[in-house]
Amino acid sequence: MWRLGVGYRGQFKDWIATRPAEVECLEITAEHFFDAGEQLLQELAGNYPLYVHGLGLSLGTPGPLDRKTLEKFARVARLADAQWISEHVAFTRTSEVDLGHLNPLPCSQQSLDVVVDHALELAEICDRKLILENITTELQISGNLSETEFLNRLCSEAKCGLLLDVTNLFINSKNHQFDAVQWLQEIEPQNIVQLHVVGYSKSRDRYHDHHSNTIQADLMELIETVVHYAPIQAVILERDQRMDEIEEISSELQRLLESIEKHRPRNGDR
Amino acid sequence: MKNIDLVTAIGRLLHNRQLRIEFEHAPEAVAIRLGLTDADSETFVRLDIGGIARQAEGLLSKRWHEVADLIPETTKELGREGRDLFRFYASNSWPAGHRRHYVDAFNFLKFLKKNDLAIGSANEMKTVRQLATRGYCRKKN
Repeated sequence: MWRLGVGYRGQFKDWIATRPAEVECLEITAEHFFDAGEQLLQELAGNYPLYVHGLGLSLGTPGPLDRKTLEKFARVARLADAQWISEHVAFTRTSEVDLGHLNPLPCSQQSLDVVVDHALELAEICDRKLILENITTELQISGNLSETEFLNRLCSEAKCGLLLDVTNLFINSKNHQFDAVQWLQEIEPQNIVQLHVVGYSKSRDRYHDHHSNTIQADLMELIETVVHYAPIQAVILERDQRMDEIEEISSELQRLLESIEKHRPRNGDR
Repeated sequence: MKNIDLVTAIGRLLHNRQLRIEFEHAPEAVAIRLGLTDADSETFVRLDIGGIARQAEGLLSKRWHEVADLIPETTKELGREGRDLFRFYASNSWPAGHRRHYVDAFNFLKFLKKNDLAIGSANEMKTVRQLATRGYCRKKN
């Protein structure tokens, strides 16, 4: 069984309140509920399975996790009765500065040890399954492990899963010129638990992840390859721009449903 | 100088333009100055300066989009200059924590006001101040 849903944003409040049939689950961003919204969170949890997604725990930063952020995250996960929690394979801050957004880590044993320790701590404090997301990056940092080896070992050693952002994979494969399907096939399929999808943006020769566009045909083809390859449990459509285009978002969900159902293996098919 | 880890060193490159210029010309000298270990230094000096510059630009660009959404009146008044003004302000100001985008917007408005530059309504300033200090706006709740 798998579920299809959207990344919940405040702008979707009225739409989601109508309980649209195409939305089977919601992913909420933990930080959006750190200061307020407890009642809304409980209402959402009463109507949908929720996944709690974090942006700022900075699991790749050496040293202890920020205790206050960790406690706030755990509180949101508890209030949401989260099916699972997720964060990124990245760093957003260092001991000196909060960079505010996701940055890549070297694929090294040293980084792996840091992320594994933090992932185990996060899952334990939240008492929930953790999945970790691949990011899009302009910067590739060499290490003694390949990215796929790093992710497989991370899943194994931290006993977590992978939130595969298919759009990020697609964008990185274009910007850094590698074969996305080969990358995918190097990932243990059982590690892939959830997908993030949204159309990419392109300016000049670079691809970007602006969470703005509908899914293009070449990206949909990669999504279909992923769902055929891995026993995914949830697909979340992300959108952070043109939020009032509810009809477009709704029809995008319908497209995804049809496409995924068509390419997902049935029992005994693999 | 106190030794730093590789992630901190990469973070410095991403938020410090002057260090990026120095790194482009003499990466080994920067690695020594930062006190990186031999293993970290080996990775550090091989970083692609083009990728670093694009990643750094991306960080400022994402911040600008977040801030512009929070202060639409000011953004409209500033027009095309808004992005450049934000870049000037933002390269020396890195707010921290989960309210960082609200704090960023508030600090940017204060920067504009201090420099007698275009600014949206007093109400916009008030709303952003509430968001920066409380994380939510009383009017909306």
